[in-house]
Amino acid sequence: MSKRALSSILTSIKKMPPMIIICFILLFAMIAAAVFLPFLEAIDPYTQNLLGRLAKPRFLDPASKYVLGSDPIGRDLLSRTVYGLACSLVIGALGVIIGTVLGVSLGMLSGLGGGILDNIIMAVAELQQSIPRTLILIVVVVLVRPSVTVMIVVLGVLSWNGYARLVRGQILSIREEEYVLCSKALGASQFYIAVKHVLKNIASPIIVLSTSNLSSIILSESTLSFLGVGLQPPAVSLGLMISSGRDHLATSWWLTIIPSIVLALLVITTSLIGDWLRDVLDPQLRHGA
Amino acid sequence: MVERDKLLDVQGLKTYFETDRGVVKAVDDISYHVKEGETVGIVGESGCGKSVTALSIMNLVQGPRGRVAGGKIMYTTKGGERVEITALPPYSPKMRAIRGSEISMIFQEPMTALNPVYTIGEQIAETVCLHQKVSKKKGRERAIEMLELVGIAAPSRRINEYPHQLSGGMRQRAMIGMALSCDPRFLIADEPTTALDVTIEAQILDLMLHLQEKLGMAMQFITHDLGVISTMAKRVVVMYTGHVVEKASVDDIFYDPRHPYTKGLLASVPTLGRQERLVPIKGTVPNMNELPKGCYFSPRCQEAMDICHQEEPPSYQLEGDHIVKCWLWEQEGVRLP
Amino acid sequence: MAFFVRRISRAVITLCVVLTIVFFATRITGDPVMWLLPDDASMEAIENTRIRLGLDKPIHEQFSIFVKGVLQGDFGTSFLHRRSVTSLFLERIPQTVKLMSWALGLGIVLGIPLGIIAALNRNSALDRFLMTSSFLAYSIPNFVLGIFFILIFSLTLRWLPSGGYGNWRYMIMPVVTYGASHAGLVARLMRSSMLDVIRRDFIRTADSKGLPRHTVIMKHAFRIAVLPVITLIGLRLPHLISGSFVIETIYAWPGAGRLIIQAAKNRDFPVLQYAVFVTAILVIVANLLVDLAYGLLDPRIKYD
Repeated sequence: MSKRALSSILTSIKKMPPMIIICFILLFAMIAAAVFLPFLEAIDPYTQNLLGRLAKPRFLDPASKYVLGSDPIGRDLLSRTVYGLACSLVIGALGVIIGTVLGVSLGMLSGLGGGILDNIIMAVAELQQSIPRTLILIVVVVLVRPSVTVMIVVLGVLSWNGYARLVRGQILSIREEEYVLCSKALGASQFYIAVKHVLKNIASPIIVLSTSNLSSIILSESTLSFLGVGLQPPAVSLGLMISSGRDHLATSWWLTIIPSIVLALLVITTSLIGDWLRDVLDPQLRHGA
Repeated sequence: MVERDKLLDVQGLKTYFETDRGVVKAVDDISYHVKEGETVGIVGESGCGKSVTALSIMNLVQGPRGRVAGGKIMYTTKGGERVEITALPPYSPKMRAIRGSEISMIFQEPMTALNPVYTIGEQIAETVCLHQKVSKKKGRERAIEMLELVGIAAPSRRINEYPHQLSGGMRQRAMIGMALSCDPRFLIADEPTTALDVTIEAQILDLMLHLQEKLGMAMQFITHDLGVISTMAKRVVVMYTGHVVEKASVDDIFYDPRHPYTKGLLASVPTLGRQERLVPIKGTVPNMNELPKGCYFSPRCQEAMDICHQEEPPSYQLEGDHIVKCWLWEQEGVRLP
Repeated sequence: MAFFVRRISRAVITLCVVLTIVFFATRITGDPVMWLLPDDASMEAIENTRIRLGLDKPIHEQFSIFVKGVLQGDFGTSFLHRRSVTSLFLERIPQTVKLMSWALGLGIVLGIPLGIIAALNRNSALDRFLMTSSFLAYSIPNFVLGIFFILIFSLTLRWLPSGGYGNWRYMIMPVVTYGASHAGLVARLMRSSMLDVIRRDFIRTADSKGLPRHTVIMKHAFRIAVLPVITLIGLRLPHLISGSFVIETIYAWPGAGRLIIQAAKNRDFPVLQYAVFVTAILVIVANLLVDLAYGLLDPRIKYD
């Protein structure tokens, strides 16, 4: 990350609106829960307990053995929710990393390489944009049996597009700028110029794009799993939990509602933080987007 | 002078804006008047409050941030009624009946001041239909008439064109036609030629003089260009950082300027046949958030005395209608309240 | 006109490429017959099914059959429904379009005025309330919102049916769920666009003519402020289709979205191919419509 981006983040933290502070606290709490609770929680999310089926959560039945109740085959809802949350976060984070690395490298290739390479890469980007992402995901996920790894790779790869355009645009726009010409004249290699100047300039928009991609990847995974074309049981995912709990919505609403709330909170906090970062880091992007 | 003669009377107007860094006194206690059929020029550098004064007259200082904080603006309507503009709500029917019909305004940027998605005919006819309650067809005829009046060739074809299809000078002509379409008695021209080429500027100024003669309206001509003022105005108001620093007839301003700022402005204008070097006023216009103590011009003033850095000067009346806001005239002038 | 010809020919090329990719991708990654038949099916049954579906032929032959079919508007037979894909979709698409248009209509009818109201009352409590609600409406996942609605309005209050196809009562929840996110997005964009436009010089000109405030806003500002919203709606069309997967699944709505999801679960490739084809066409048409709308609303744009 560039110094400029870092310092503008730091100065903005002082002026952070209370809403964003709450969002950060929530997000860190969710990350902490996802990281630590699997170690602390005695009950694992896969253990079935046929005697403890459909137990109520403690806020409805103080005597309940399960803090957030249990599902129709007696699995602990709290640990399942936390695992689902962890699953979303891992898929989101790794997906963003894959998308960033792939997108930035292809964008550099396209911008610096130019010519036919540039044409091909941009044609693929355009092709991808002419079909709704969810439909591409459905087709791909049908072709390859969905697992967590597959989801990470597919969701990550499909988000390359925005980064590539960003990097390519940046390279094209600064290629002729004076300081680049200067370093060229001084004998810097093309690659060095690209890395030094381009990365420095795009750090802020990349951070903004990554935050918004994080929430859209998390949302895509849970949507696909909810629709039954994403992760398959026995995998634990918020989307799957919401989907399978629907059969018991009339009697045991918490099975669906608790993971729904967690998912909604996750998506809302990440997109609020994304919006805030966009305002702070790159005011022009707001109009461009 | 009889109050009645004053078409527009600005009395101690204060227009303030709230900003993140405090209140900006864009217009701070200014007074002047415009008589029927005469042209008053308002001169000053950008940011001195000229345009805000104009918007205050139009009652278009808007939003939660800007407001008229004191003083009043009186206007005498066609019917002879004296209206306190500053007391009217901006969108009240009475105010709207004045705007566009009694008082019209033309703006600096003819490119951006016309709506890009309506033809100029539609934009002119809109004003006519609104104020004169006539049919669309009549409005259209009036629009053609107006374009002809402002010297646009083939007006019946031109009214169907969009602003982007016209040249800058044409657009400003159309803008003038629009402003005059309801026979206003008072026209505010806010730097109407600043964005135009010099030759076009001369044409537009000529047109405005000609129209004023023909239609007999009063005009408030706002500019930063003293050369333009000398051809347009009978009386001149010089503004600096929200204050009126000097008010006099155009001859007095040019041949007998009393305020060091006015003298400075004149010294920095090139004149044909004058051999002396141009002398720019040193320093820059102060930031409206960080105005200096005393007279706001004192840090740039060559004749500043001790008191100038301490206390804001009052206005002094000199011989005739010459008014100057400067400590230098403490002895000679009559101090105004 | 040439502009549109260029656009359309580009779009046709895109379509061909997309169809080819989908065709090969679906054929080389697994045998759909295995999904269609029970695990203990005999070799003979498998072979018969394969012949019936035309999967026994070499892949290039399958492709040429496919291309010929596409040129005649025939996208093959659904593995699962054993019917022509085209007729299957023709039956389902109207249901989806009905839902989509109502939802989009709701989004526009609600979002545009709310956005304008928020813009005109900038930084007021009303503005903050409207913006918070529209943010929530569009960032809460559709299926989460749908489930809350079902829990509240059908299971608890018993006002509305929880799903299925029938009279207008069956449409309320799907349309509201679906429309809420559009309304939220449209309102936010309309607000920022309106704020941007009412600062412009020509609005001051319109004000200086003495026009009433509502004429200034609705006649002079709106026509320009709405342009980005139109772009957004056009660009959102793909999302509208993705949304139909979720909404139709939650509310058991018999539309194309649910058909596609079913097809995906059963590896019913002809249906998926057709789905990709139809959505790609839809996206292209939407983009053209956006361009046309721009041309109508903004005289500065001429296509030639």
